[in-house]
Amino acid sequence: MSESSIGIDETYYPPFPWCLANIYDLPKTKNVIAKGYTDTGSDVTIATMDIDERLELHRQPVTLAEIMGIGGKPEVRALYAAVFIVKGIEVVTAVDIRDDVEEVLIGRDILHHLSLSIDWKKGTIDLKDPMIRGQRNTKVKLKGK
Amino acid sequence: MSVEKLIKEKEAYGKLRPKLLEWSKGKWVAICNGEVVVQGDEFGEVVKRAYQATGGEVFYVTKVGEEQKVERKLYRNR
Repeated sequence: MSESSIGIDETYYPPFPWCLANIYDLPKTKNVIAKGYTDTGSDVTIATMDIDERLELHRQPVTLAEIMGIGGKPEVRALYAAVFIVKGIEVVTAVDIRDDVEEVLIGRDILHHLSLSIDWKKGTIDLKDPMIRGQRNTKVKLKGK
Repeated sequence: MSVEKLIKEKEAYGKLRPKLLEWSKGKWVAICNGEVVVQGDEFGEVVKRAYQATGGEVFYVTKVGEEQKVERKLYRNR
């Protein structure tokens, strides 16, 4: 992936790190490349309705989970199989498909397979495959830092 | 509907669980049509193998003995 496969979105406050993800349905017959915001606070990756419409992820529910936002009421929801490829790492995971989010949120279910470094002071983000030695890291800097 | 089948498979897992706790504690298992179709150490591996084994049927995946841990998901409010 190129330099533009990762970044920090300054339209959010505080700025929100993101990376491109190649998202597939489970049989890997369809895919979408989407910007996924790295959400270390989430146990689960969240997909949008638009992603579901394009990949038909709803065809393959794989588990039921008690989903809870901080301070919210728990809700039992089906999670659906999806394949994410981020920085060359393929992760099969179970995503929550939500109609109340507009962006893909990449949770710790995927992030824990990667090496992620964010230096908020320097405004840099670094995401790589931890198993590949000498891999060229992709770093971006926030404007003005 | 696929979610209804998923719920049935989860109910079937509940019946199988006592035996699975003896034989497969700590393993990820995939349940389809009331039976264990695949078990393994990694969630993704089990999901892929179960999809192949069932020909794309709906199956239910959990981790034996750690169901509450793996089936409780927290995210922040935005």
